Amino acid sequence: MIEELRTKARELLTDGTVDCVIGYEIAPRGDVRPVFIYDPAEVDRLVFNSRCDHNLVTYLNRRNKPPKRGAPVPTTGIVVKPCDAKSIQVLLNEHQVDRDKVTIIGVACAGMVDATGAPETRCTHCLQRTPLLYDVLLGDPPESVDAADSFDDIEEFDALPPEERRAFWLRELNRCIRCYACRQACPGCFCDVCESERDDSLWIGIADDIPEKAFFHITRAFHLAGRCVECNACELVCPMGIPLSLLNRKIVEEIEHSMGGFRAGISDEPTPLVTKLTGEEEINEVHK
Amino acid sequence: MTSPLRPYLGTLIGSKDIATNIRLFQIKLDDPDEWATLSTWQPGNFMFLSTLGHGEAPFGVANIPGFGPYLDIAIHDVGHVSHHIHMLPLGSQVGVRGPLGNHFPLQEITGQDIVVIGGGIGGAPLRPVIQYLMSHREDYGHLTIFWAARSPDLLVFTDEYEEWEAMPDTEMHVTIDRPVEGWDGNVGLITQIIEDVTPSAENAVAITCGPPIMIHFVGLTLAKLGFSTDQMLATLEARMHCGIGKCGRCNLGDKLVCRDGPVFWQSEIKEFLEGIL
Amino acid sequence: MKFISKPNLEHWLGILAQERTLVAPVKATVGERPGSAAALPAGKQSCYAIVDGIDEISWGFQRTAMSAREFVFPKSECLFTIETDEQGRKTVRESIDPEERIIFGIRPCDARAIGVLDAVMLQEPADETYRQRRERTWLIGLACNQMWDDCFCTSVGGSPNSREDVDILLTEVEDGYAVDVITDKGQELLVQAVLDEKPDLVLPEPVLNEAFDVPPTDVWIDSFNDVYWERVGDRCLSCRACVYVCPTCRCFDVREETVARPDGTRVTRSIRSWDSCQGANYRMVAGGANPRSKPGQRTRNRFFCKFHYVPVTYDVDVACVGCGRCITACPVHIDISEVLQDMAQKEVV
Repeated sequence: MIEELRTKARELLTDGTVDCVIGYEIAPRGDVRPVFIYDPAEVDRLVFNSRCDHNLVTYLNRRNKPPKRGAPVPTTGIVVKPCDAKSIQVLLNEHQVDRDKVTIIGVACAGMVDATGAPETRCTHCLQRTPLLYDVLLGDPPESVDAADSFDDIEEFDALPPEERRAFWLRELNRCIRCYACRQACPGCFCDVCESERDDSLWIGIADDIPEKAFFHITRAFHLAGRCVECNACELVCPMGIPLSLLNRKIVEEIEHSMGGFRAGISDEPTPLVTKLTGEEEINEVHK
Repeated sequence: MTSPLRPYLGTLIGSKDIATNIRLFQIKLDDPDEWATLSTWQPGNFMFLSTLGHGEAPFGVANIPGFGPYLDIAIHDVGHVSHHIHMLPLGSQVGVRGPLGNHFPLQEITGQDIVVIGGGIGGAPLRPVIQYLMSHREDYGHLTIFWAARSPDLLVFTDEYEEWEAMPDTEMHVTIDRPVEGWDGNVGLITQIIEDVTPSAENAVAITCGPPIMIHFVGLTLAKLGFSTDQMLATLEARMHCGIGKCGRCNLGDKLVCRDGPVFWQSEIKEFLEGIL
Repeated sequence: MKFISKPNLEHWLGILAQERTLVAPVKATVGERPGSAAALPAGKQSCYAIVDGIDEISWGFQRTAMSAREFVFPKSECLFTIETDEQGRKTVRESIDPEERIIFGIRPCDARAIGVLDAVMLQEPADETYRQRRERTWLIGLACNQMWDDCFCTSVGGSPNSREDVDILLTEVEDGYAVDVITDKGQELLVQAVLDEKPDLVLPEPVLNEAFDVPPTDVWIDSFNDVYWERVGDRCLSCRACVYVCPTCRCFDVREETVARPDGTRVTRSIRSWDSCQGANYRMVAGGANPRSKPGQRTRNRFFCKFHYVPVTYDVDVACVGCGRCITACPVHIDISEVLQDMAQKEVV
């Protein structure tokens, strides 16, 4: 499959379909990391294995917003797993990504493993073996998979008494250093100025205290309501090991239960929590 | 030992609208010793101004000591701190830190013709230059002032142009970007009017202040007229939190706008590792 | 050579913990989750923290996940308070931190990093808040008997058993520690410690990693516009992980935050907090221009700041101490040692 991936990447770059292919490579110390291939001669750097757990779709936000006004949007080929493809669907639903500028190289996925070789928890909840969205599909989906789409972990945590849950979150969130790795890694977080970084400290100040840290994570979880695809990029990148998936998946569960089974990134419907404008509304005032 | 980040306390003693969303503020310090330190400022220096409640920000000085009894600062309402300064009632207490940064080397360029080029709010740090030239007129040669704004309501210090133009051996050219009803003055970008007037580069120094893109294009225009980059001065802006080389925010390459600047010769800017754009 | 037995060391530290504020490495639940991109081996799952007693100390630690920087330069601190009375009159008060802190177990790289912070913050005009806190801080260094997998202190002019920048340096030997008293401040601290003399004590040579070349200044300057930096920036997420785990980074943000009280008075705190040059809008100016709008420009700025800007602006040779934390923390595995070696070989992509 890797040979197919490299061949496809070489083809897309050589015939000019894309300016760049975003995929995975092995770094000198042996870790898997994102790679941007511009030159067809370099496609042999591309790999795909069960340690390719980054969600590369976050880079599409940046690629689709060139810093210089008026500069053309570049074309991109991007390697996506089933979870990552759901992120692209969310961005398409929210008009953040130009579909014509992206060539989606979907890969069949048997699930990712962590540094010890154990299956990542999020993959044990995932029933999707092939992406729902792709221009080309590589690899054969595994026949059967040991996964169950359940919120058992959320329900187990919810069953704890409130004081215990509160103590847990205050302890976990206290470790947060507001490095924003979670936010930057998340394809759903693309605001130009994050609510937690406003100059006027309107919502969240800059003090390194638990109220600020807790509020940032809770706000972010709410802003992802109906938009989080459970790719777990946030938890994977956290240098302090905070279990962010618990928080974000709690909201995924709430939305699913209260909004008729809605899950983000499956259809072309954006989150049910937004009001969709038809374009025929009369807007009298724009608040700056 | 008092922290250099601690502000002097003063009072907002005067305020005057000088353009749309641009106001000239006059600040009086409470303590005479602190005023003695502060009032050593020179054109090009900047001060931090704080509302003592919503934050502080750096602003170029807009007068020289002696031109008016207080410190003048002109501020464009564009952000959080500037907005709160605009909302301060007269008599409010404010915090001031300074003078910071370097200054225009006016004592080193005596005997030369001076070309002053200001765009929009960029005119504010140039007003003390003009005031200095006014009070040392015989020490300098011909003075050409180019002043520009996007539209007439954004031209700053309009009520002082007459006094500036009345200086001996001085000419002033004002322009706006696009035609506006009721305006019968020059229309066109500042680079255009500089090219039309063709100030001589011989024994001359040009001093520019405005947005980085304007400084860049004015530099190209002056070069076409024969100015070398050692004949062009500019003052750069940056967001700052300390003004004393600690917070690390204002660097362009290995230069700190707060300490190595904000005034630079274009010949220095050309050598910066990082561009200003 | 002076020597302190393990029991005597514990006893002495116990006294220090009672009488003053003792900061020491403690076991921390950080980087434990094996799925995390920053999964840490057991020896690195620790942080410096204030300890009340010696049982909290993590003796087997290698390198802490977060550096000791936060004890001389806090993640956030109040610089001033501004009180507004009912009539609206304001009074400014400087916030002084009176605490005396002893940081035990600081590795030579982290101590050297505090030396870098000193060079920046104490350069005239000195940052008074930092200076006062620094004066009230003692550093008891703990030499490393080996370098770990992402350490590279020897490549940037440091060493695992360097005597620089600490008040006392302890080196682990059999049954205890060799004690090297370096400053008067350190001497004064040892007054309550029971020390022995061991004239035949031989200090172990630390096991070193292979050092690599760090490029000289002209290579940095020549490479500034190289597309290599764009490529490094491509994968950078523009988060702040590298900056916040770094022991020498010191960019800061200052904001005034005001809280109204029911009695009509208000208190404003001028808060300084860590900031990061990696943020997209960090270098934006009021008019909207941004010389570092692209991620590659920002990642470049960080490397250049460590190896060129800080050395030419302040009295320090290099601003990176080779601790390797950024290598571990970076979610996308941007590796400073790789960048340095690429630069030194001028192997640009």
